[in-house]
Amino acid sequence: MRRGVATILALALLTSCGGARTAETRNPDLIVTAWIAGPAGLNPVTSVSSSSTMVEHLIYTPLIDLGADMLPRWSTSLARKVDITDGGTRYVLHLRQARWSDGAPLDADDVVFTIRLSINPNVIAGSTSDFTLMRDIRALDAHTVEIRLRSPSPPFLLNALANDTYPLPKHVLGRFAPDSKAEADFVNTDGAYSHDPLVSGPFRIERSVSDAYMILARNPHYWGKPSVLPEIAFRVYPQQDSLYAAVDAGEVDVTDIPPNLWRVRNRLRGDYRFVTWPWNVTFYLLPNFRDPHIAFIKERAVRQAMIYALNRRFIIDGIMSGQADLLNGPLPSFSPYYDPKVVRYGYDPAKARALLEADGWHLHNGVRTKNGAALRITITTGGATDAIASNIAELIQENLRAVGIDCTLQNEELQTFFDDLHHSRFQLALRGRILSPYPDDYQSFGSGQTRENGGYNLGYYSNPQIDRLIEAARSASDPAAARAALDRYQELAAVDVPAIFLYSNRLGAVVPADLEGLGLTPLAPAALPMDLQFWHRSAKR
Amino acid sequence: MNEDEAANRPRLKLTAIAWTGVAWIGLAIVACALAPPALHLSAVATDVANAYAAPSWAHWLGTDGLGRDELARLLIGGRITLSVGAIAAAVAMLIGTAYGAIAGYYGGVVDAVLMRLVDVFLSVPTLFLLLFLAAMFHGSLIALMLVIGATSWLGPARLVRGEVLSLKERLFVEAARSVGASDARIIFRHVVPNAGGTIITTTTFMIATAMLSETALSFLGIGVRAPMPSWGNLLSSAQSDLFAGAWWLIVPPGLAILATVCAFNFLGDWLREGRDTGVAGT
Amino acid sequence: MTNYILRRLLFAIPTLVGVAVLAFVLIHIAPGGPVAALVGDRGTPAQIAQVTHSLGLDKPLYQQFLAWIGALAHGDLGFSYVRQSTVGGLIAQRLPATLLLMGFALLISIAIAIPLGVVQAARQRTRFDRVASLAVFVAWSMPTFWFGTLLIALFAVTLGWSPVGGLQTIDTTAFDWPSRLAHLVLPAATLAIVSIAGWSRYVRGSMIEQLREDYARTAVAKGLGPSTILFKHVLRNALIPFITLLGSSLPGLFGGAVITESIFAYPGMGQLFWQAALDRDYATLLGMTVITGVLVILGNLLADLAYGIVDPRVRYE
Repeated sequence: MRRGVATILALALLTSCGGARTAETRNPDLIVTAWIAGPAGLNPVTSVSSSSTMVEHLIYTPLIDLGADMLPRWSTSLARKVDITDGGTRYVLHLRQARWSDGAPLDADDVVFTIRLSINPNVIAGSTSDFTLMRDIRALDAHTVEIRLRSPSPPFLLNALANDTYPLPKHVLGRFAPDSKAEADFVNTDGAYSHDPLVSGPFRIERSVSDAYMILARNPHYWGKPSVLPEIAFRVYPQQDSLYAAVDAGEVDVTDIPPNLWRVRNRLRGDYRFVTWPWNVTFYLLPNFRDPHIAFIKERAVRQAMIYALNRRFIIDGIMSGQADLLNGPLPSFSPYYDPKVVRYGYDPAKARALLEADGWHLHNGVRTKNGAALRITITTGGATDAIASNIAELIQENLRAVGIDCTLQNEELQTFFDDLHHSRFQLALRGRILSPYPDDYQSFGSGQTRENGGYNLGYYSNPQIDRLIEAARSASDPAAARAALDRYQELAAVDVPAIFLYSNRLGAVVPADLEGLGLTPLAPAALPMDLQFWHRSAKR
Repeated sequence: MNEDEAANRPRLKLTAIAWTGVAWIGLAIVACALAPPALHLSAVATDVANAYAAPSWAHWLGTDGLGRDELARLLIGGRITLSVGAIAAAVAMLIGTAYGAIAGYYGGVVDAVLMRLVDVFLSVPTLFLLLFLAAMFHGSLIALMLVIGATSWLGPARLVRGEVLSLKERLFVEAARSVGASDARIIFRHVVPNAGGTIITTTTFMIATAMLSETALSFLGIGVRAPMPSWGNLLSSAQSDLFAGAWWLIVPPGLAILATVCAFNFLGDWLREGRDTGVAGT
Repeated sequence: MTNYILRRLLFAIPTLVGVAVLAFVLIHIAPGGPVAALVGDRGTPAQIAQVTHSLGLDKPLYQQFLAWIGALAHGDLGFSYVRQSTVGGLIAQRLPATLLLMGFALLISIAIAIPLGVVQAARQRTRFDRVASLAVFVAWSMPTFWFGTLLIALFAVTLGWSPVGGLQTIDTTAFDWPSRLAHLVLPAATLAIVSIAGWSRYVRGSMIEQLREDYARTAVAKGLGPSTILFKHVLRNALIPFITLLGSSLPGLFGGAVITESIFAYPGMGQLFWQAALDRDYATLLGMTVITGVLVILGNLLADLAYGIVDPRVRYE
């Protein structure tokens, strides 16, 4: 009996070394990628999940595709080029020849249909594109689309036309009058097309089981260069640690490695390499300037002191294992619009204390007070906190306490957190924001864009100078003037601190050592490398 | 009679296990309550230069991602988990006993209606209730205790009802009624104390269940929230460290939960066995 | 008997109504709503107001309830906007997989718990009994997610004997029995371990009780062999109350287990429900609660009928 057990154990150990480790049946030539959650619907006008957006990018041809530099990449877009005339109010898009998988042409009518559909007020749109300045849109001919704006808008090209705009087949979905409620109702509840769409991009859906796996195969009707890999598989693992175990066991080849697992990535067995690249998600502390209990937050010196007090370097290097970059202003350094002249704050608790002292805040039992008011604030975080998020919040609390600011941490369930945010029930909220390709903080920090006016300035920040700069950056007809305004905006925002900018995230992924052609774009919808149609195994294997 | 005595003697072995359980629980309570101030341990003092340090003389159980002392977090987390377990169990038993006693004593229509209500509650998924209540109360600890208690009283209610159903036919009830005692008095002064055995046993098991619930809820993100440590959230946030080799972050909370829940289960099982054969406290 | 069934079914109606009302009220009381999940993080308050109106969420609660009940009466379980699918479709996808997993776990539990409890009772107070009791208690006291992760680390990652997770092989969408079974082993084991613990103790205790009864002692005195006694009479009597215990595991059979499903990447009802709760996906939550409620009530009825058949002392009028 004992000898038998020993033999079994020995055999098990032998088989577990090297080679195909997993008990999962798999084709070793098939690249397997993984998500935390599967796509829920593939109609870009109504889908909300990030894996949906990723698949949509693969099965549809985007109107304007953005490259890893967040600028238009015409070689993979439906539009060959765009002419911007009339002082920036007239856009003419010249489309290439393309087809749907049922043979029908993908043309200007589809583009007009899709854009009008996405702005139908009754459609529960997952899209965040801002088409409010668009006066009209029409197809001049089968391959030309003309758009007229009410006034010049520098963000329009990148933030609206290029923002996940995937033309849909009008001949299938255009059954109702445009802009009508009937059309919206149809699109909102259409599960049929959503789960079995017509495709126009480099891939088509070979087979899928909802929330389990999806196999994409080369689309023979694609107008462009066919995908190198004939098939790519996607599997769903809702639990981060099980996903990591799956990579270790050889079930998954490509997946995102979050910061807390980045520090232990070298423990993964197998022939892998790791890639890391910047992400357009930044983290910051949003103050509520209208909360009477924290009137001190309106003092610029206090806000600046807070930044000096925070050991953001440790957050980045220690807690996030280097998977973040320091943020000096509203824009991260990888943005093509970044202004390197912004002032830099280092980790300087002494300076923080000096600033507070000079401003009249004196220590009283560990907490600074002035005229009867004390520096006490509550930091709210949202969602099931993993080790990273809770560690960051606790470190911030520690750092602020060290300079005499007393913080209480409050973690809320995610929907409750959003609810409170939208009703401005917070003092200091720790949150992330997704940056648009063209920087436009109008809705976030424009003083007229408060909640009551339908905007997103949930902290009620107000600075007329900032307003003027933001306005200039988003409406100048001359690109150079817009650029100059953006620079001035960043410099002023770094000094006036509308929000305490912490860091911008970096993404990390594990990929097979011989896999190349990865598109490492900050706009990655599902935190994975993109450009799957260019993925290929290099010959050196 | 001889056979019964024989049946009782080897039970001392099981009793040894039960006493081990009691000893462990006692040790855990004392350690968690007294050790942190005695050893000057702090669960919040960060020491970022020393993050993820393996156990050493300075830190007996090593440090976590922010350089905090893991032993301190374990002991203070124990306070939280043990109190959540105890209070949640108390809440569940209070509601369940009252409910079950009333249903069992009155029987008939009252019983039918009350038991149908139990069916209704059973059909509403617990996780649902837990998430919403946790969301509504912004993660407060008291709310967590009440919530776990409020979602686990159904089992005790059924058990107490069963006991009361058989007890109400006994002579002492007849006697009390003939003296003119009110129903409430009969139920809560006479019947319920006689079901004391079941109640104590069930309470013990409930504490074990409540502690495991706290663990599960912390894993799902709606249990004890950071920065407060609890065995549940220490264990779940250390999951990824399983692959990282930081065993000192996973093994202690895991063993603590396992040992303590086990101890309560031993105790409960021993109490139940004692009650079944009519001999308790040997 | 028929009267009994009819009465139970009649009672089922107010129970279901109670479930519907309770679920509806609870869901709508919770802070937040489906709109935030739909409109996304960058949704402006204007967009939020628009979508709230589109979904009819700005109407009074009773009107929304009546609208939902009305649709339900027509067999329309609703539409999940977050998942772009009818609720009926979602349940049809997940329920079979859940039944397979929970059913398999149940079978394993019964297959191990009953023999274990019986043998323990027969060998009461021997070393086997004590060691088995200890093992059972340890299993009972383990947090599920910890146990599941340990199983993955050992059997899937280190030994490579089992896949880490998933439903079945990705080579086909057709139902592949061998692959399904291979993927069910670890999650079912994780689920079974707790039931085995509880049930084996119950069976053991019940058997011991039966063995002390007069009829058992008489049989021994009459010289009937121990196995005949055990397996013919005592076991049957000991198992009768076990059926009600099984009945209490019915909600789980249909409801799934969110933690185990998450860890093993098994798309079941538990995970669907949890994600819907996080997203405040009202339609899915309500639809699932109703369907689960119906199944539980039917299941309880079947369990009670089975009890009546097995135990000759029980009479249903």
